[in-house]
Amino acid sequence: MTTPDDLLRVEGLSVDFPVSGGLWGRKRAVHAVRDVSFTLSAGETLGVVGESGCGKSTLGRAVLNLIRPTAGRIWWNGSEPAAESLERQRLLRREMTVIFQDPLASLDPRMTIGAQVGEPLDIFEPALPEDEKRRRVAAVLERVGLSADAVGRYPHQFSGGQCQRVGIARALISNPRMIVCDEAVSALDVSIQAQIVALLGDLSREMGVALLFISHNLAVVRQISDRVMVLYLGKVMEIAGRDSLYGAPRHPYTRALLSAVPVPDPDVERNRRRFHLIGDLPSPLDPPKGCVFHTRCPHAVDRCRTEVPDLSGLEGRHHVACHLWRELEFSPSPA
Amino acid sequence: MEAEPRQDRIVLNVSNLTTRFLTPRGTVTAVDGVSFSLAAGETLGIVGESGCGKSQTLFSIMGLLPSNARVGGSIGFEGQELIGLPPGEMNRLRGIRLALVFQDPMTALNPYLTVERQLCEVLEYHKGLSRADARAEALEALRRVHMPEPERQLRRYPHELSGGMRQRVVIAMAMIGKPALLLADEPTTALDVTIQAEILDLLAEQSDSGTAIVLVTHDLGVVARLCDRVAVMYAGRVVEQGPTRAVFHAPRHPYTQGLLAALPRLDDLASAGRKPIEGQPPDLLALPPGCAFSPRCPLADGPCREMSPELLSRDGGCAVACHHADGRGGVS
Repeated sequence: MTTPDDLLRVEGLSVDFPVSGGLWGRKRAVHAVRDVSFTLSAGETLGVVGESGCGKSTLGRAVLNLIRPTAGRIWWNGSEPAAESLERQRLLRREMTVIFQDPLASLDPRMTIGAQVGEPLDIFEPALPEDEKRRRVAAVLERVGLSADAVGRYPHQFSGGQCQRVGIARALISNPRMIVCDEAVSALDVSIQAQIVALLGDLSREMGVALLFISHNLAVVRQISDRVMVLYLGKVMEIAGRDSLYGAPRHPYTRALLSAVPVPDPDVERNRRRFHLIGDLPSPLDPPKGCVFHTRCPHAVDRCRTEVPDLSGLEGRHHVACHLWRELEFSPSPA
Repeated sequence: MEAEPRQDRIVLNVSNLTTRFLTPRGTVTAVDGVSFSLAAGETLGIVGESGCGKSQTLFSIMGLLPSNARVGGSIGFEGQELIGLPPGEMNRLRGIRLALVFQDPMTALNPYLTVERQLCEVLEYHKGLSRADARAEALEALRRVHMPEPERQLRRYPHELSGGMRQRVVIAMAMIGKPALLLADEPTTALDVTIQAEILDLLAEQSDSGTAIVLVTHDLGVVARLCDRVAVMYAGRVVEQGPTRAVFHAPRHPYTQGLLAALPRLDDLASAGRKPIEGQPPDLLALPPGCAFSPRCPLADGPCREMSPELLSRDGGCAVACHHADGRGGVS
């Protein structure tokens, strides 16, 4: 079902990566993303959080149509990109762009900033007159807070924060409707991180660009997102509005995650109640049966070991995949 | 929490530490006149952003600097001066009295050796223990860091362990000689938050047992969690230093204030409107005259652009390097 508001609709998405080898050359697969469904409206920011190996980056790539899902469907603006012609898929790339984690590595060291930022225009609007192209490049650089003389300079002449602004300019110049931000501020220092988060927030509000904001940093995700999705071993544990998720987390994993993040306040830190997790992350080659989180969950019962919990809806748009969420003691705040 | 470390239990006394690197583009002063002291069981956090000199301060103490480095000032460790100490004597201290934990556990572990060999090596080298005795101590060291199934882990290689387990091995290795001082450089930055929480607990236990810890981190949350005192660095200098509570609740340097205001917080519902520090990080080869923070500082005026402010003691055990920080109220 697609409502007119949905820019992006993902249903039952799974991505497996085959792994060769093993004993007797057995065929195995890493289940990176498993049965993930969500929607993203125009202008909305959905935060995707989780620890390493939870599938958040793979999810971003699948949404961008950069890798082929094993199962599930993705609708973009009412149609399915995977079913379109290659030419049409290529043109869709101007509507959905991406910003990567490492600002310097995602730029070409031998191309000027102007050439890299203008490159999407060469591809999508080859007939654009040169002076109009220059004008658009200058305008977008100004919008991301870089001075006009950046056009003729090279990436190594800029700091990490400035390079990330270049990356944002390049993602913006084709007037996209959605930007996938894959750990877009994780490599930046705190003072610069706040600048870039503020810039992305402004752009999303002013230009109505939807953001799929993938990050391991729960505090940053809280700052920028309208809704937040929590992934664990490729599965959605909880998805809810920002204030609902951070103010009243229901899934034991979300609670553990939130309580593990140190808060920059010594008094709060010393009096905090923490939900500790047991052990390490299981291998995505051999995820646990039943609820994937049961091996580390302090509340797990027999049912959790055998039966996969569905995402069940609470009030509002809060969904949680846990057999026990009704029984678990409700704790309003992680702090 | 005491404002100043107790004088009789001082383990480390760093005074006017200055570390310069001679590079083809000029001399970079990575650490510029840093002073602090640390008592047994105390944890000092050094925070700041990339290139502020926090890691180089640690490496200077450890004597692990490249050959183009020039170190000045004084590093007193258990009454002994470390600067200028012959390499042989430094080696006798390292790994036993003085231990280091790095950000990436994989760089600290030898991929070709089992966990047992890496742990026992320290004991056989420094203490001359037999294999069997060393093994028994190694097992005990793994138990102290709450390693599950320690006997089994002894036989494994680093690549067979998860990131959190590797960092446990590194901490076990660092603590095996019962060091007086543990230097930790971003020990949890490479780990997931749920694992980070366990490792921070583990570090807190080491400090409870009397080891002094210097923890370098960019994460103010980690400092709030673990450290008794904190030093905030910017462009090679300490700009503010004091008890963690005082610095976090009433920061007086505009940079500390800016950092705390820029940081998104999980516990603050109003965190939507965080305030970035404008401008770019400093270039150590082209520092402005006067206060290095002045180009980004909302309070900067004439004197700030001409004269570098000294780190002066204020009330409450804090020291601040700012022309605008008065004795009590601080800048606002």
